[in-house]
Amino acid sequence: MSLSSWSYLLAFLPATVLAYALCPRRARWAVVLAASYCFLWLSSGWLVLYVALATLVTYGSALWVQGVFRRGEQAAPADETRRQARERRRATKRRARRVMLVGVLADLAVLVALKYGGMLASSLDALRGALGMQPLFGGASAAAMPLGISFYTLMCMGYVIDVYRGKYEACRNLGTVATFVAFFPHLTEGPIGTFDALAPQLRAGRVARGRALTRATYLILWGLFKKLVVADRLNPLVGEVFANHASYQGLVVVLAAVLYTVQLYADFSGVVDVARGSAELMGVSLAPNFCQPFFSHDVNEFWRRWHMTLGAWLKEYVFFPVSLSGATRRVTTWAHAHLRGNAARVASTLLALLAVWSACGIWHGASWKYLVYGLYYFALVFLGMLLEPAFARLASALGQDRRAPLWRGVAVARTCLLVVVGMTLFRADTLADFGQMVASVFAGAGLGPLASGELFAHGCDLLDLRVALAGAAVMLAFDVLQRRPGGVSGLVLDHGTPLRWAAGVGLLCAVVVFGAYGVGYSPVASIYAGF
Amino acid sequence: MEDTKQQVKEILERLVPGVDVEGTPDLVKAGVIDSMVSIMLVNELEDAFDIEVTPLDMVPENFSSVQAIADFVDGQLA
Repeated sequence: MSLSSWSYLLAFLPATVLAYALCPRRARWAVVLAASYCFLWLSSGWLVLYVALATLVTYGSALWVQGVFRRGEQAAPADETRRQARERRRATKRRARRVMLVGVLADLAVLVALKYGGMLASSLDALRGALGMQPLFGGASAAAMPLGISFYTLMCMGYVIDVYRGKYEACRNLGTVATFVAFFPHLTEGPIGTFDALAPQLRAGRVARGRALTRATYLILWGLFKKLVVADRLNPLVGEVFANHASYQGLVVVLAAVLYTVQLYADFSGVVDVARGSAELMGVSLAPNFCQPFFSHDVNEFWRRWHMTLGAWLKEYVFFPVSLSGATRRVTTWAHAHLRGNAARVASTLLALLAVWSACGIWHGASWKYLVYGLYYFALVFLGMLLEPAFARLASALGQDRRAPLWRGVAVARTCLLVVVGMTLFRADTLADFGQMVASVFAGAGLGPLASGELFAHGCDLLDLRVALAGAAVMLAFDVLQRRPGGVSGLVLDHGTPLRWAAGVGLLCAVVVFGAYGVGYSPVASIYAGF
Repeated sequence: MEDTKQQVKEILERLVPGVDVEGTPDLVKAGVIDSMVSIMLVNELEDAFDIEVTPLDMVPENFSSVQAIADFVDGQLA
């Protein structure tokens, strides 16, 4: 069941919220838990057991970690010197670290086995074949995965690491941990939440009323607008060009790449808005996942504004630990001895950036293509940092102020171009397809399929394209308004009832009239739900 | 204390040239200190003050201003 399906919007969500509101406040978390497992069962069947297993492993290892620390403190003798206390704490921390790693690696092992097992097996067989050896796995295929495994695994790992770091205490209530892991709104596509932010809200059992209820409803409607009016209308055209890219070249390929970028943004941010609105109906505020990413001045900023909760997770649990690790310290020492100035400083982030972007890439899917996708951004970020002084000197020599509106506009356009190239790599079936598509851009104008209308004979006609582009223009206007103090929600919610109703009814009408559903349209699966 | 603050200011000015590091109300919120700059800053601080920073120390409050960074360093030295 997807969050944009009618069965979810007209049956599952209203029934769950009704049961939640009618239930005594102290038991509402149980309604959420039951609904979440029902949602999982409807989507994944028996694979729901993997979610239960991850919950038990996470719950048990966090308590175990905390137990190690507690026993370490209890073991302190009364006449202990400061040095002995320091040694004892170090030994306790080493033991707790081992336990934490067991829990984290157990969660990770299931993800790797289910998601990447097929890819690793076929890669190993290909390597053995190249060396003239017999294949070991004989075309092993990818295993079936429960819904949201890539998302809930990160949340489980983050919880255990946070308990190890002493950020907060391990939770003794299995129901709370289970609800945190399986909470149905964030299970499909995130946002990737943290236990300290979500558990108190899940336990509070609040119901949205007044302004909160209006906001939740708007979020759901706005998310559906993006998903059904923009993303799903563009899907057939984008799919046609990417599937049969050898038949297209020049501007048509560029158009498909740009439209896919729009589609992905509308699809992903739309479904996340539906998720956030659904959660807010139950008094739970999920973290925002997007902050006008296409106004970014460089790709680094883009990734701080796009899929923000994944970026925050990678920063907290990959970037900082790797940056402060012994290996990085050795690289830093070497760099300071052999390099100068900016190069030495930038070198100190090399390992951490490589780890973050490799993890970011491969997290998206079981294909080496995704690793290259991550490394593409690694190269852009690293080179950008390395060449920053040269860019500054160049601008200074030309007498240009890089903070001037014109230069900032150029920087935004350059970032959008680099992102579109990245999205093309992300969407192309293989690296070879991506290479052919890039080459075909320069092979000719390729206006034939556009002029003859052949491009519009695959499920997305000119009217579909116009509606989708108008919807994208509304999204752009929304993002511009969102940059004002108070944002769009302040603009609408703080005004009188007529404006609130007009906005709500207008959105609903736009979804009903212009949404890509019903006769002639096939439901389009959410793009990130596949990860 | 003032000595630490002055050293922190000099390090920051080297890392983010052209930025008024003392005049910016919140260096993290303003985007002056992002994750990359924070790591480069930590490396410089570790070298300059012989302190050891852990992932738990990497919170915005420790890097929001020259004073906050100096307080954090002094806290590590205490």
